[in-house]
Amino acid sequence: MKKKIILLFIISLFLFLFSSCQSKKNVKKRVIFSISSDLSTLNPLYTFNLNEGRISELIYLGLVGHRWDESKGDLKSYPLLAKYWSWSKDHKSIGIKLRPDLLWSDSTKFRVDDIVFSFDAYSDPQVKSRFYGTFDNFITDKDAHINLKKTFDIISDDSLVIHFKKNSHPKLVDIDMPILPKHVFKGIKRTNYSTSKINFNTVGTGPYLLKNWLKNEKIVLAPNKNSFLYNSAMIPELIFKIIPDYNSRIIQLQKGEIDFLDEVRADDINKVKSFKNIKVVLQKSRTYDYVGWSNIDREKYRKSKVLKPNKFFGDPQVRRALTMGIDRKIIIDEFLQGAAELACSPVSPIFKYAVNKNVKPYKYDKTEALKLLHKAGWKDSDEDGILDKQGKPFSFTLYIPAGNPRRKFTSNIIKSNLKELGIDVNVQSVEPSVFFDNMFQKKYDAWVAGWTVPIPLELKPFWHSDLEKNIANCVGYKNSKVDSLLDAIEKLSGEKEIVNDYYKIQEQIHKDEPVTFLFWIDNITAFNSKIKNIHVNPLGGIQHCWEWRLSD
Amino acid sequence: MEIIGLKGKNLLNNLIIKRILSSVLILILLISLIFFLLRLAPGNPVQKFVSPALSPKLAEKVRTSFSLNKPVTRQYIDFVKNIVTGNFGISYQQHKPVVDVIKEYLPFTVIFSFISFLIQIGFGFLFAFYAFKNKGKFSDELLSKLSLILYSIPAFVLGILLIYLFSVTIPLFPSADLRSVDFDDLTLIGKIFDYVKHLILPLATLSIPGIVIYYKYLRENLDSVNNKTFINHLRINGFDEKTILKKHIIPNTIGPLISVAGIELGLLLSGALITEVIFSLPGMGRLTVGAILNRDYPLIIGCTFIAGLLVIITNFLADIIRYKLDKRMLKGI
Repeated sequence: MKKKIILLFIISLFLFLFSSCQSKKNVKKRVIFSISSDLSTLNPLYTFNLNEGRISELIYLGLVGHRWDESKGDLKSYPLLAKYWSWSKDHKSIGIKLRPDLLWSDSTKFRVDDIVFSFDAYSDPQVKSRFYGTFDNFITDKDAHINLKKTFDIISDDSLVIHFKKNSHPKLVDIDMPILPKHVFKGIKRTNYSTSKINFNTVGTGPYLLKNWLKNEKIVLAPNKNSFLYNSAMIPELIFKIIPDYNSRIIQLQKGEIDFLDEVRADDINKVKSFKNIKVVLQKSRTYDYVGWSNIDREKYRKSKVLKPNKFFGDPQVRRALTMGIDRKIIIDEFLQGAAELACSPVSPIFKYAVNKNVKPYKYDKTEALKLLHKAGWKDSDEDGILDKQGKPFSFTLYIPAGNPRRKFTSNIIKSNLKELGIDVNVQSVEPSVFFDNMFQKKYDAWVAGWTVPIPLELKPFWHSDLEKNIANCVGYKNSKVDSLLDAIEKLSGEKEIVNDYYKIQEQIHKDEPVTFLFWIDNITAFNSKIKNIHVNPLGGIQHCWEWRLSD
Repeated sequence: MEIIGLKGKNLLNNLIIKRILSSVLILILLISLIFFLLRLAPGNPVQKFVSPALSPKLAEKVRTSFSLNKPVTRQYIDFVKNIVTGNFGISYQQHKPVVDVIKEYLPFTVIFSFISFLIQIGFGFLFAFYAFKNKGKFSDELLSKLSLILYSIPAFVLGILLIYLFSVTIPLFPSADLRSVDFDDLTLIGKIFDYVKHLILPLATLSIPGIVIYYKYLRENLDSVNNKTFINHLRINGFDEKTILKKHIIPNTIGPLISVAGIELGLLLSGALITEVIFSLPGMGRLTVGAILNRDYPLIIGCTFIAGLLVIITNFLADIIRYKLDKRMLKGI
């Protein structure tokens, strides 16, 4: 009898659970996004990673807004907190008039003081913000802190003028950063900004505000009715669910437990397309994979900062041969299911205005590759199957970050392709954080990694030979023509001249082939078809999501 | 008799004092070892501040603010001074005191681990006794084979399999999370059931391997004790099977199991990484691994300290229970 009662209880419990699980889901109007890890902060001073930036931008606005101009393939800026702006004749000052309807989410009036305070905080060495040290066009003190007196002229409650350095070449991006509420930061020591509770208690001007943050579970945003962007038709709730496992994200998308997922893997496209009510969008990206060949003798550079050619990869002929010797198309076809495009320069195809279409990818051609290697002095003189030069065999270690199946696959292709040319490649996986540390410290001769090209297009940090300032030039590429073109672009304002210089840079880099450009990987975004007015673009899937609407 | 009792009490008090002192020493050694290993290991805590989009000046400023530019010995002295006052420092990644960060994650892990522990013990015992009672029968054979299969399935496969079966194919349970997105709108009863339905699959994933361990351990022990000469003597002397089982076989079987349970609980409390990742649960496992991957030195040390402390406490409790069950064991402890 007792056993029967227990059994009955267990069955009824299961039935209850079953019925409660079947209850209507997502009755509320909301969109649920998935992110792979929790955020450290939503304070724009410290939003270092992509998701922190994307979510924080919905809470804190800047003076300037941006949209992606698909036809031109470039940013289109428009006034956001600013009503309008005007540059001085010498282009060394900018006058800004604010919108009259600006309120912080706590109903405090937005003031020009907030703008001055924001630039002050961002450039303050004590604050150590993500923008620290980047105010090269501003009038700064020795410690890179903006000189407020010389920089800002407050004209009235809603207008100010920002003055830049004499020999500077300021652009709109210089003033494009989220504006912070001065009154909220009042009374907090600057050294404590990063640890203060304001990081979790946001006050912004953006269309959304933070409603709830359950650590390692979810972040909930609700409309900010004080924002000038507020519209009663906005999606009433945005939830960012933290789902660390990729397979769990896919399952939740299938079950309708999440509505939006970017970074879908290429091999899942067909599966995701078959999910009920899910749309899939493929978008050309600005992220490319490459094989880094150290152009310089790393040891000499580290000891004396002198740029001497690397014994294996110092010769552009050899680097071109290596590119020709790698079948990059097979990686696109077999691993990426065609969701990528061969790369031949550091300018992404999304920047239509700047892409030099005369620059074409090197074809996979083993014979030509071998010819170039022979020309460069690499021959199999001892007939051991490995090329050699002055007694030194062409044998090196190719480093890849561990836990990345795409790069693992790529490295296997490279190893087998180069073996056919008589080059011995030893592949070594390294834990990502160690890998990137070593890469930036120029500790590798050869590696596989990727770069995301910034918007607006900027190439200097990756290809200028001033290696101390341009840390992303990990291969140590040096070409004086490219250096001067990169320097010139910073000073130019005419679009034609800039484009012309970009064309020349691409031609030269293609000729020198400092790295083997592999492919531009498509961004694959999947979202619930109930979301309307969504425009997935290179600025990110959720950009301008306050303009999204939900179908009934 | 009283003299023996007093002796026992003194021995127990001595044991407690000795254990506390040795535990403190172990913890100091543990966190010191971690402190130096972290600094010797490759990788860089300011790595995330090195990027083409950031100024190289920033990385240097951050490095200084983390005191990583000081000699290691100086860093260690500062670290010890802080630890004495209970200050584990500020998490590099989360911009919060380490103690506050751990406070957010520990309660879930403690509750989740205890429930799983009880399930493991409970079902382990249940199946072992059932198999023992039906020794040699089909059900005993079946349980033995099934336990072998379940034991050989890795946790991540088991988790995905359970999700596929009971969440995707038959939509009985949610596939992940600790609670639904509508949790705040639910009544108290609704909230409890919401937790229950969310925790069934993760608990199953975490507990099944544990159940198998206890089952196998207990099943073998039951057999071994049952075959001992003194049990046969009891049978010959006419004791009934129920009394033999309750008073002699069971007490002699569970004694050694308590030590295993102590270690197992300690490990559970350190975090169940795979289950937490698959089911998106906010526990210590994810926190610790995240801290390691980001080279968040203060947080790694904080998590290690807590894990070490929990292992020591649970082992100590297991020893006390063993002593309470059988006072002769004090010498062994």
